Amino acid sequence: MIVIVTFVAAAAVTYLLRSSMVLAGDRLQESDGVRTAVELTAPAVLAAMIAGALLVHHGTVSAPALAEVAAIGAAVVAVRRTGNVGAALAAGLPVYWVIQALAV
Amino acid sequence: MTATATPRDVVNVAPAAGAARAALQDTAPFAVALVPFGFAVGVAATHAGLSATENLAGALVMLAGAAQLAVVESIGRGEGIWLAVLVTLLINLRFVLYGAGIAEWFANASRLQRLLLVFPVVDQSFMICQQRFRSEADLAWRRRYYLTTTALLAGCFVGAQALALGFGDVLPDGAGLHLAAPLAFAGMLAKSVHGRTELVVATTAAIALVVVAGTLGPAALPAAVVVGVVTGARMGRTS
Repeated sequence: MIVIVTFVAAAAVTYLLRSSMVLAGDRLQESDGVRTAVELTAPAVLAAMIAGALLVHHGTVSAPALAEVAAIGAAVVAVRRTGNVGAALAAGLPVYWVIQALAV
Repeated sequence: MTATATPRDVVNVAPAAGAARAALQDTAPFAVALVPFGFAVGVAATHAGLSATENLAGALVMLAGAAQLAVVESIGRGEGIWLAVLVTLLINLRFVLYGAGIAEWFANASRLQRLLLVFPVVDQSFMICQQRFRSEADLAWRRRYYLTTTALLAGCFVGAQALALGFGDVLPDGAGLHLAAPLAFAGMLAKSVHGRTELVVATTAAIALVVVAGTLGPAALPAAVVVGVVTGARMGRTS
């Protein structure tokens, strides 16, 4: 039940964000400062989540595994070259597999 | 706010009948690209212990891939509702700008229609429609095009998740599927960094998270995001 409640709460926030400009009509004026903050939030959140996944385990910071770092690097390069987010998995996972196999 | 033409600006009005076909043609590459990402979300949900019903219900009510993935990860770590909602707020903040686009594209539709149309907007549908609506102004055409685009994107994304929920747990542990979420985030990050400012923001947020993770616990993520955004805002946009 807690899972459904969490999703519903997250969905409600998401819908409020989507509909805020429709609800506000002409009352809300975008400022450059707000627009900049909004646009910079995505890279900040994504980078922090990646760092958390690679470096923080059970609240403790530890060195990342080489295979994981290499996989993330390959994913970034692949997406930058193709413009396709799906390429992240297609490039990252094989790099992880190869390095893991070589390490055995 | 967007560079699109308003219905009154544009005289090139195509027949509404071709809207669905045009939408399918324009959206297909983006929809295919969503399949691996949807699979990653499904695998992450399986690893987090969610049932197929729970995850698919979450996918349908949110229709927001990155935030859904973050919520799934948060549930898996047992972090509680409020942190999941806060992370969703941060990730989906850009939807405010997309909502402004919907309000402009469908300015001649009723308020109720605009409130319904805004529900499925995501990164891909916003970008696809922004391109198309520069030259297509008819309300019925736009509505059909937009709904076809969003339906195709949502169908592929949720379908891929259903596939992963069915088959993801039979894959071996060594497959590295625990990396699916960070890889998907890395892909999205690669697309969201357009210049030096975003790069500094991302680097600063990552470093800040590592620095404060041990002391702030679950609050480390929002704190790191604030540090990153404030740093970037002070630099000013260079891209």
